[in-house]
Amino acid sequence: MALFYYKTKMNLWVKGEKKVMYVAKQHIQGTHDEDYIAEKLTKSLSMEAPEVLLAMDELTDQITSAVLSGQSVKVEGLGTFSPSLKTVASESPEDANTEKIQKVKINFRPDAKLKREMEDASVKYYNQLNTNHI
Amino acid sequence: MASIPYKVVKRTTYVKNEKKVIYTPKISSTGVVTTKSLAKQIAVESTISDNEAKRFIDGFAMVVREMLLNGFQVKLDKLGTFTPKFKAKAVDSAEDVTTDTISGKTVEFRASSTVEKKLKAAKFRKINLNLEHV
Repeated sequence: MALFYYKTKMNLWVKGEKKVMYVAKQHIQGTHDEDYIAEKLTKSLSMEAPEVLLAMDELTDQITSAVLSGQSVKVEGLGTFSPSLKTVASESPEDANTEKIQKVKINFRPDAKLKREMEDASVKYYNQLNTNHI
Repeated sequence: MASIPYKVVKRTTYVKNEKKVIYTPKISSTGVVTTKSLAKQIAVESTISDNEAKRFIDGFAMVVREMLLNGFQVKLDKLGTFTPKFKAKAVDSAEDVTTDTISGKTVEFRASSTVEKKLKAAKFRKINLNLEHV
């Protein structure tokens, strides 16, 4: 298990002076979706693919509807989803109404296990020629 | 339709060294949905038992963790995208870009467009509590 990085060059302006610097960027190996997860789970649990997909659908629905009713949702081994508001302050409590709510967001906080595993994950250099990569 | 409960909180802030009292709406949490209750709900809405639903959630969390720890993104259309992330320090030369410049490995979550639409259409209800000073 490992995360990957590549090197990239960036131009920074420090006190009005252009400076070339180098930084590690995350290389994403690819994207997996519901079907891939279902395939993996069908093999490891003795469940049929349609059952797994239905359960996954139900899980995501439950998370969304709980958050939309002001609840947090804790998925053990993954993390907690909770609602939060982006608001504008007002000078009186009467004015602090729904008009002052600009946006509803879902926050995700990885749980202790995932946090620890991420921190412990090794990071490897992804050395592939690409114009942006060094 | 479900609505997000909010309360009004009082905050003290300083604008140009002058103390100012402001008021903002804040989510009044209605509790936490646990993995156990998620499993029960999945069992009700599908053909699997409570135990199978719990095993499914554990398996789901494990598969997602594995993918993230291997540098993959996980995209669930009805929920959002999980991406492994890290912070990196910019340095003066490409040779100095090593794993030592990388820290704060974590997981970022971004809600899907389906969920964003639901969040935009969210309803709110005010909870009349005593003003909370934060």
